[in-house]
Amino acid sequence: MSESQLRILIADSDLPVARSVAEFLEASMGCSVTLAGVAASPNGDDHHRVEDFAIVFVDQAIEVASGYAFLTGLGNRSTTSVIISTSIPSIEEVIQAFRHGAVDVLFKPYDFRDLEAAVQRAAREHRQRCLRNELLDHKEALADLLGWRESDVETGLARCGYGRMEETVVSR
Amino acid sequence: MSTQLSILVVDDELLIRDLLYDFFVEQGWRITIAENGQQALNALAGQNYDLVLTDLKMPEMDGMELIRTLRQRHPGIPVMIMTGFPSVDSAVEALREKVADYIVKPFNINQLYKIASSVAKGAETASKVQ
Repeated sequence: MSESQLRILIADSDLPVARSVAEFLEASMGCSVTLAGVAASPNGDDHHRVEDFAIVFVDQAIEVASGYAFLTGLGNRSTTSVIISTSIPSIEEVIQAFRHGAVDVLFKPYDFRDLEAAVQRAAREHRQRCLRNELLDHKEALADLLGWRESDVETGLARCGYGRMEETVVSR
Repeated sequence: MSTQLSILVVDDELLIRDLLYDFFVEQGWRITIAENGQQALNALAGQNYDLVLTDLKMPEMDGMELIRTLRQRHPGIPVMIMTGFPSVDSAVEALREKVADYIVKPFNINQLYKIASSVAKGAETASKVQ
């Protein structure tokens, strides 16, 4: 999938910043960007279902206030890559973001080169997750082909970086 | 997956190595210790591990260099960081390298063990939650 087909959701209460990011991603990377504002939630309360997007940018303040609702609301087989944005970077915030399964943390004000690199990394992660799901959908055939147990196929995918092993830590 | 979990601990501090060695042996794990990244890579050339727990600031080869090399040579091994010099930059770099956790020293060893167990069993757990 090329970056031009990427659907991106931006959930940020700072609308001028969100608009400038959207304009950049649409103009320079050809992405399809939706602005959600503070009312968005993983449950789709703002008419946006997070799972429908390849990448979600969510402001750290929104995540903290909601108890990391975007990240914890994602299913185990979600392909959405969540990027946390923050204007007050702290070590604790970064650790919390990735313990909850974020793929990246970006600091405001944005450097558009960093932004572009982050979107490319997140898109790569999204594609890996899509591939993982496709392979898991055929795990019975794969297990048969390889002479493995189905659980070994899942383990093998996780071990090859096609799982989200880190998310098993979230529940502690 | 073998029933005995295995861990490679990488730290230049003797006190930390001894503490973790005794603790993980007591929990029934197979543990190997290394003083720096290069020693860790040598250990990894000989056998597989369920988890690598590494310090960041070490002589010869530091933790981030070890992680980047690990990602190329052994992409499936989960890695956790423990550091006495935490920084936003190193935490973000760790996140982008898909490090499983970032522990700040001094740590609570029971908490560290809980996280390490969860990460080491990650692949097994992932298969069970499908």
